Amino acid sequence: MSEPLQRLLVRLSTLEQSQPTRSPIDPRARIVVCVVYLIVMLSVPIAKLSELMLYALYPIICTAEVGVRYGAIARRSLVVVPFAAVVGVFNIFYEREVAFTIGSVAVTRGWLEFVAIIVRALLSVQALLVLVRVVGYNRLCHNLQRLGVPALFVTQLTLLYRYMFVLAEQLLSLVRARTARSFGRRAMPIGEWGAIVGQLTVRSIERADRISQAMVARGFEGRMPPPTYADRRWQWRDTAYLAGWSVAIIVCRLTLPVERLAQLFKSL
Amino acid sequence: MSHHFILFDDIHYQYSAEREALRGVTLRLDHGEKVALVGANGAGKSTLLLHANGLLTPSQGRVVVGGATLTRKTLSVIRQTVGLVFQNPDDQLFMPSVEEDIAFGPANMRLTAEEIEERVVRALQAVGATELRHRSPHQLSGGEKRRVAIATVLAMEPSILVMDEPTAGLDPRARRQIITLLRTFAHTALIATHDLEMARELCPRTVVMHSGRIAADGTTRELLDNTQLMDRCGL
Amino acid sequence: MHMSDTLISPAVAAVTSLAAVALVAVAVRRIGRADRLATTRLIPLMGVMGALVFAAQMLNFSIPGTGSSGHIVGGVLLAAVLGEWAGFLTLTSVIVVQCLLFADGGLMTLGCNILNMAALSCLVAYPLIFKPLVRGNGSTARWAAASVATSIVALEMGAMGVTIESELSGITALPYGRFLAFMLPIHLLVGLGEGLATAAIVASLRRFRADLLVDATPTKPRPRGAIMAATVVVALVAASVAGSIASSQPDGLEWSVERTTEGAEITDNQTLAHRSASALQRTTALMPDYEASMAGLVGVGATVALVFALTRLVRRR
Repeated sequence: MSEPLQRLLVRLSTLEQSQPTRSPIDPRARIVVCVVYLIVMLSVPIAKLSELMLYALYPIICTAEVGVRYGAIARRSLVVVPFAAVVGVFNIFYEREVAFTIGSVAVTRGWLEFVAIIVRALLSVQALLVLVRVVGYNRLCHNLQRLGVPALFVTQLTLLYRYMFVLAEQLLSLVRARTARSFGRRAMPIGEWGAIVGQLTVRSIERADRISQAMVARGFEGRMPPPTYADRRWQWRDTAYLAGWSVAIIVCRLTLPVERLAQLFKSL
Repeated sequence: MSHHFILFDDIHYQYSAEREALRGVTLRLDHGEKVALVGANGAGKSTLLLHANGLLTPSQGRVVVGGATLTRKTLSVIRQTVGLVFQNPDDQLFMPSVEEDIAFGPANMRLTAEEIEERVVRALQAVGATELRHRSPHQLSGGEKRRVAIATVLAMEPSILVMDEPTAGLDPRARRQIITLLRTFAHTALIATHDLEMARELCPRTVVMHSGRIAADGTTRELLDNTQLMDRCGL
Repeated sequence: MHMSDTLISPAVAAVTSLAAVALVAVAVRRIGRADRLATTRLIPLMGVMGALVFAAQMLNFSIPGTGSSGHIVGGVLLAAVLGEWAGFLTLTSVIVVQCLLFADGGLMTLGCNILNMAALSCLVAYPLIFKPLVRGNGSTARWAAASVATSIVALEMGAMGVTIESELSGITALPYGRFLAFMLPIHLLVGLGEGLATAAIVASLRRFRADLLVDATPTKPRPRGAIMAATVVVALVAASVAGSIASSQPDGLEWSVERTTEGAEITDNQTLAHRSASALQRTTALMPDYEASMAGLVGVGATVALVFALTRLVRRR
């Protein structure tokens, strides 16, 4: 039952080891482009599956640009498939109009929408995974602050991340101490769970008080000092990156190139 | 520089009505002195250390640092003079990266970016951790964490160092490195510890605490060889 | 309870994100206005409590008498230790981290998830139900009952939020009523688990360090709070029971109707939002929806594959 915890720790440490890439583009430009991409991609009606698939180009090109393996990102994005499938399966039942036939097999609207829902899920997760992978969690938080997210909230995000490791390890050792004496059941009885997590809660609050003392001892008076290691300045190429991608994505949405081409093809 | 003394003058402290942690502690450390503070768990060592830079306020008595009594007004100056290294480095390293953590103290002192950078570099050099600069705290080993935690305090350039169990939980090699490191410091230092061997190596003088009072104060060798005293104080 | 990006339309994403941003701004201001000495303790406490909820979510517990297991959301627990606004901000940060690092819920649904999970539990259920029920320092049983009731209400409201936001987005073809009938009973169960887990932690906090729970005295005396809370609980339970009865009725008739009318009935059933969305679709489309679909699919598939192959080639050099 401590498996997910161990997996969390492993995943976090791999995340840490994969150092953010040295990319010349300002993380803020990347964040904004990612948001533009997501909004535009999600605005494509699920009826237009072929148009939607064109948007797979963004994560592919992004990973290639920074030298990350697309396969790794794609594999990790598969975690959303079950959730998306649960959502999409109803469309199969409710939308039974035939869209087209391949030989004798009729493909219904519902099936196309089902696939579109899964593609949407995969693409949105991939875009986000690439962003976090390229920028790195802490630098992402830092740049969110530069984009106007309140300092208090950014501090919260970095503190949470910092102590996630510490508490997950602490919890794992508490669980091990217990399970060494009990049988390996999958889920804990709620009383036992409460005892373990309750103990961790008390210890965590005491820990928070010691952290508070350590902060105060170094001159903390309730306001975080401004970040010392500010990232680089905004440059022309960041503007170019931002404008280039945004225009490309939006134009792609407005002109529906796949449909136009298909129409052209048919009229020939 | 002879003003870097610290004086605990008849300190009393109560956590609650029935629990009195300190019952009249008087102790003076002179400039450049390294003093070991030993005693069983619950003897009041950590409580005394928290008084050194005003994290706790005594219910009776006063703390004097370099001639200034600790009050609300002198608090921020005294916090820069007295650097406190906590027992668990995980509680002391709360920022995302080593460099940001070391910069936290100087940044609170409103130094310029150049001054902060200078201090970060110097503090990292002082503890021999320059190569750890861009790491995250959870990527560090126990000994590395300890050295970085010391660096975060050194960056405030204190003249008095107060440390709680600097060698607790370290493997022999990391422990040895910390002891070697501490020997290079010229600071006035008060080191609370269970590591009596370290006390022997680093501190000519030792203070023994027992249930909120000072039980003995003298040269380290004499006190640690006094088995009767050690036994009585649970050491 | 996490909604993923695939369920949502940009318009719903925009509105919910704005609402979430506004709430975060209020929370930050509220905490910023607090006295500095209090914030020196609160800031690290929020960070550590967020990490605690995160770690605790990795550990499943079994819900008694049901054979199923669950994990904690943590809203009521955070509010009980940190207060409404700090609890809200902390749970929001947990949701953001889940989104960024674990692909639990997407960036566009962040607003929805913050409203459904953090806002409804910390800012609505906690002050309206938990506080009046415990009234400062009630008995252990009272605290436990308050934990369970508040968690159930919070999760049922969250489940309603999910269905409303999905319906407005018009992605899933599942009709609103059916979706709700599916969500409410499930979240009654999830809420029960959440409540029991919260009660267990609150109980051990009260045993070891009662001082760590924030003063839960209602800010203003609200005699009607408890009555209101009870009404909400009763209404929600009734709704979910009614929903489960409705969903357990045989659907055979409807199925056959659907089959004979070839889906014609479905268009009548669609909501206003759904219909206007599809009307918009029709006007922007260059051709009827599916005529070119297969050609398009093949073409785009080939293009994407080609670009992927190219990037691999470029990278290898």
